[in-house]
Amino acid sequence: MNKDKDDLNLLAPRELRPKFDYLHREVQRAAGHPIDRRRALGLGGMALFATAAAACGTTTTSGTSPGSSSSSKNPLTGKPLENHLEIYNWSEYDDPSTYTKFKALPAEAKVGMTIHETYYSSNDELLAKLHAGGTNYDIIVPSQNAVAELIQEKLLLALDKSLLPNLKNLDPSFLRPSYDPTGDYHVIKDFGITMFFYNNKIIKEPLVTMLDFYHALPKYVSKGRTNLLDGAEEVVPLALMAIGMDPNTDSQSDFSDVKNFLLSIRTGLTTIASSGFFNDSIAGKIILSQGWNGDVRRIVDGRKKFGDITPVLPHKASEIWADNWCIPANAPHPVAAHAWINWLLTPSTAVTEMNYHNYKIPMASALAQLPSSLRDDPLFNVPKSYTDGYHYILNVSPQVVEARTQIYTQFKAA
Amino acid sequence: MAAVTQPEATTTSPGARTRVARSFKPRYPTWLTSPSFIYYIIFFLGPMAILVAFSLATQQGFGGLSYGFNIAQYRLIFGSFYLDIFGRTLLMAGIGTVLTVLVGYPVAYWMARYLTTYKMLALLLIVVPFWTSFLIRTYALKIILDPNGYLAKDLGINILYTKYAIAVGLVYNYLPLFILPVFASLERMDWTLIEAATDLGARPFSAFREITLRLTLPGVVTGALLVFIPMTGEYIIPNILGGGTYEFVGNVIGDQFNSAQNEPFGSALSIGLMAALSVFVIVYIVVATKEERFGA
Amino acid sequence: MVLFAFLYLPIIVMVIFAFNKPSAVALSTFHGSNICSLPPAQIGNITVWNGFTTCWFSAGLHDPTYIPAIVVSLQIAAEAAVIATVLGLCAALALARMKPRLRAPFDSLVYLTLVVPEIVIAVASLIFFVQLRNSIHAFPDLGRVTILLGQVVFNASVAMLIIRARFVGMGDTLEEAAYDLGSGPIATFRQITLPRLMPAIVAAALLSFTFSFDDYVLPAFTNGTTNTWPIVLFSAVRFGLTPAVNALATIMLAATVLAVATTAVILRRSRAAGRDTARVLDTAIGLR
Repeated sequence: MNKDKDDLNLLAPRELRPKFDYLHREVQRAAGHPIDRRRALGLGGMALFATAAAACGTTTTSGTSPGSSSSSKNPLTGKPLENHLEIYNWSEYDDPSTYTKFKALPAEAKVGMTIHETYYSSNDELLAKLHAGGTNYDIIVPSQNAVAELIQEKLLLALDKSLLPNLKNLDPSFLRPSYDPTGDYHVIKDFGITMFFYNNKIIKEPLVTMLDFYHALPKYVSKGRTNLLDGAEEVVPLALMAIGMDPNTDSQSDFSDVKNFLLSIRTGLTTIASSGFFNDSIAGKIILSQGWNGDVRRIVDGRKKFGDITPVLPHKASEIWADNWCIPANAPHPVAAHAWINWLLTPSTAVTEMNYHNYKIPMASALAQLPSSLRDDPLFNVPKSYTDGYHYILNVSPQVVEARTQIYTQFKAA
Repeated sequence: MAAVTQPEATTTSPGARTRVARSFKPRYPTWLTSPSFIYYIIFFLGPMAILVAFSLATQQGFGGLSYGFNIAQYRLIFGSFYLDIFGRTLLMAGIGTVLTVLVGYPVAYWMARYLTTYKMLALLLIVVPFWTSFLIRTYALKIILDPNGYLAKDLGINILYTKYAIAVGLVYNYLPLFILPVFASLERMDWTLIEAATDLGARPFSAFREITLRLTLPGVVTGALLVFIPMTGEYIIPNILGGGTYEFVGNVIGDQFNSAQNEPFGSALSIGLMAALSVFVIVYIVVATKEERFGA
Repeated sequence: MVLFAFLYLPIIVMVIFAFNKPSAVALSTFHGSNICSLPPAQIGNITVWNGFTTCWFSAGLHDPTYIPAIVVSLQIAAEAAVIATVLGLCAALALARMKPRLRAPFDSLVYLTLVVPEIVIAVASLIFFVQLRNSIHAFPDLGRVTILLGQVVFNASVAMLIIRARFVGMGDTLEEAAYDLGSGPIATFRQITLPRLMPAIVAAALLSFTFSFDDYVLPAFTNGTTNTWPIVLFSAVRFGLTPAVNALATIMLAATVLAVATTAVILRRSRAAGRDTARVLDTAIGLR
């Protein structure tokens, strides 16, 4: 029963009244003219809420704490080996024995090392999870475009090289790639290239460059299934390279050129998929498709009896990609993570891995131990004459990523 | 204690005073809604508030945001390109829903009317296939629909990677979502009403249309809505069975959140989709409340 | 009947392919003893029939990732079903007979939960849970609990709608009659309302369970380090699903069929009892 018409009949306890009076006064002062109490409190409330949201917001999005930028000293030396390792990886990407042998290593066995793995099905999922925070992985396996982005966002731990003595086994030319110029944030896991293949009983003309591939699509789509690898970060840069441009360009005119190009070949595609095309290719259901060299190699092998698959390492430009071991900046078990990477860098492990997933690890000592059927196969061991002309695709900036995504959406929707 | 309202009941007295009808309306206490209410507020409105905040924010760096009141994203979604995709998605979901209704209603009807002892069993049988993963089921569908495979080749069906395959996949995966609520609604229907109607000379179909359909409409609408709405957000099934050549709103939103990590735009798109869907929900509310007013 | 054939065709296909051997080509270069130990990238084309083998069943059961993921999925699904059905039941009971004006805000909330695309609620929930964890340390890390919390939002709404549709259509004459005869509200609920609502409650619970078990998008974002069955499957698709997966699904199918069969027997007996009680009551009130 308050007679003061400016008073809200708040059900707030009496002690809060001075605070509300204060808020009322402040809002009035900010506004520069008298506001009745109800409105003032409403505005004040919203302002408070917005600031709170913003405060929460900045913590959400700034990723994790500044720990990563520090270490050029060796902050991990002297720290003991932890007893658990949390890996976030593609599924079925590593030989099971690699895990068991790691746990059986003397230092690891002593602490009773346990490993747990969670899976993702795309780089984007990995990035989304890392941005949101709240997860505690020790090892992640981003592709090169994600590595560049993660470094920019300071989400990766700078590696302590003293804990990675086996780094010397790697081919030095792979230590400072364009996506990690200092070489401090990643260790290459394996790499490959993007190529294409066709059914030579149906397609009789020689296809030599990636541009030939694109031009062949509309011509042969009526004769069988054609396929393109999906993903905005594959489709758009690959097309850019095919028409002779820089895959990591950020120029608007380049983007509009590549969009027109892509739309012109759109009708030539039966499917746009990166998963599931593998089994179908081995079954002979695909007559023209892009593919990664390891997969294409197995497809050729699988259809040896029919001999109808011609693989093509593209002349001129195409994509070279690399999957990498990285440690998130907030990893709870960094020493174990380093031990894991070091273990993967031992030649014997590298040999097992290459035999399992069939992608090349740039380690001369390991390569020498591979069966010659693998080592001399140009689909596994792609000659430098080709890879020298290939490029890494990078997530250069959010604008570039967004532009690629939009072109990709329009391409798919056509 | 349920509140039982009891207006004054007058006893009949030989004075021909009008008798006031007693209307018992057993009500359940309102506080029963509070558990769900509180739950929704925390675990639904919380995230939704974040969504709205995102849609008004501006992108900064990769996946970073600066909060503010930037409606640029909303202007973007009204570009004809995205409206096109919206429209296409609603069409796909609409057709999928219609097909599901056409296939599911007869099944639910048959189960409710003609099965007596095995009702629960049938219910479980409908649901059991869906305890295998939808991924496996959809891939199995892909094998079945393969134009070079055994079945499809014999029947001359070549629809894989077309919109027809997507339709099949959608109907297949959403059927139980439709059948269960419709069944629940059909099951309590009094079939003697039909008997009575046909006894009185009505043709079976008119009896069906006037009685069964009318009475069970709320259940059907519930089921249809339950199916239609998730279908609009569906992008995995179209991807597998359509070979990735169809782009729906779900793909776009997914791409924006995942690939581009452009939360403001993705959020704006989502809110746009939700707004569009709300129209249908309002229709549902109208139909449903009408039923409740008339009771059984 | 045709429909059941349609429904089960993919299932039959799935079961058949659980017994499929790796392709002849793949086997030609394999010299080990267990052909099912071939990694998925090397088993060749398994979408055509290569021969019969049962070794995928043991391969699947021994795989360190599959079984735990299935168990986790089952647990979460059961919990989600229970919680969602209880929440939905309470809400449905109260809402059905509430004044429309009181009902409106709640209804709108429920419908809103249904209208949100799943990927949207997934991302929003992820951020929300992380923030909650940062401010309240008692709140659990991303994992089973957060998956559950996210799923119940949708499931409870579905459950509410299903139960309410049935409840409303049921009519309250029997309940009125029970009150007239002097029954208290709880007894009425237990003996009259609840049994008649049973089909809807069961339907709601089944739906919640199914939906939760099969859910990919929401857990993919809110799971932290927990693996659910769809997550394991989905990420395996990149390099290829093996028949081991089919084998596990077949085992689950067999288990559920067994459960269904036993339930049918039990239900038949109790259903007969329930029907008799209802019939007696009906005649007593003279409604039939």
